[in-house]
Amino acid sequence: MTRRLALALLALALLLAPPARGQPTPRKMFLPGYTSTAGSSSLGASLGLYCWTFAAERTVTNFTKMAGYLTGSHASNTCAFAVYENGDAGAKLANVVGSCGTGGVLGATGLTPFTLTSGTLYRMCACANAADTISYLSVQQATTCCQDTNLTQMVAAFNANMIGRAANDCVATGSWTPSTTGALTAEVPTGGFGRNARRFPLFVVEQ
Amino acid sequence: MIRLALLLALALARGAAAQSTTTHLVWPSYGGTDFRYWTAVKNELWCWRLPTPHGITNATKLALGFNSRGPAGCVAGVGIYDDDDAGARRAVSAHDCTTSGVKGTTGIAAFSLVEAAVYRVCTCITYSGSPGATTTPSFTSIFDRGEDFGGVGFSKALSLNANSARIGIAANPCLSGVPPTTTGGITATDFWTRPGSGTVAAMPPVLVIEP
Repeated sequence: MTRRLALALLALALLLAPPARGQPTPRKMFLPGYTSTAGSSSLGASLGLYCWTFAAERTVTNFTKMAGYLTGSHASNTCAFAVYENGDAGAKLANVVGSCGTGGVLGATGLTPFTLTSGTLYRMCACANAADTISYLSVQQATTCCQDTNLTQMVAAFNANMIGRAANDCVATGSWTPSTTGALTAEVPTGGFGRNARRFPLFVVEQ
Repeated sequence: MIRLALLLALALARGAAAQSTTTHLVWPSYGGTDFRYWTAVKNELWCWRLPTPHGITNATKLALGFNSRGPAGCVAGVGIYDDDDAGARRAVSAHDCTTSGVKGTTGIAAFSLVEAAVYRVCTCITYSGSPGATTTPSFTSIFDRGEDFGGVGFSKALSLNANSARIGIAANPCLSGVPPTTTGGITATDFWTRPGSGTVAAMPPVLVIEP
């Protein structure tokens, strides 16, 4: 009798239980999200680390590849992208560094596997040893008339420091990006026609 | 044996709570490109039926953006409803639209949203104007190339409402810019045909929601 009851309970649980998380796990993800149209934005001070806070759209485990995209050629300069846990002392999860000498993909493979959790906040950051001239593929602000507000501004609606320059700069050695960002000081791009300053960079991460 | 089965049942049941939540909801997602749309029929409640990318608990802040401003006294209302004609209003907020820029409202009654559930996101303003006029407010929205293709864009496709009314005008209007307690029925609407919508497609406004 007890055995039957136990089996019945087990069967009931199996019937009622949802599938684990119910979502397929993508092997590739765009950060901060899938975008319909890309733009180009520029970085600021030389070696300044600029960061954007975003919520991961999905949970994906064991990423080992990451890439950003340079939209201009900048000979003799070096560029770096990194993803951090959110928080001034958040750990650096992934990093790519390389020459900005040619535009195009700046990527890395064989990274220490890292995981992003759906809904959790992270920081994506970028730097280069050039002032104002390095440009990267980013979310776009439509280049039509009359845009006084852009999405990057909106993300910082309640906390200006979700986007800005990090306290910790890059250093021109090793992985370039610091191990933590330190505090972010708000540096939100302005709205208006043709503004292209420091919007969300677009990254691709893959298993 | 019974204990073992109970433990297993509990463990399996815990899976039901595995829901993605966030403390910073950008809805409807990052969109990629910011754009704008005009809604310029006074107190008409325009609704989009949208799933959430993440759940959020006890949200009390809601922001939207304006790419152009309205006249003195301009107020824009946002209502988030359960997806039903009599669905509960989960959140309501009012935003000054006399100037452009990001407009956040804090201290609104705490509300929660469930990941992947469909809600009605509705907006209205207290002003009727002409699109493109300097005193007609436009919302920051996700981008639609429809403007470049004679209006045949993503929002146009949505507004075709092939399967059900995904985008449309609610039966219940706003009152002085405050969204009603329920939307009533949604009449599938090609917003392009509305007075004031002009040549710009009506894409969902981008909302930023936080606890």
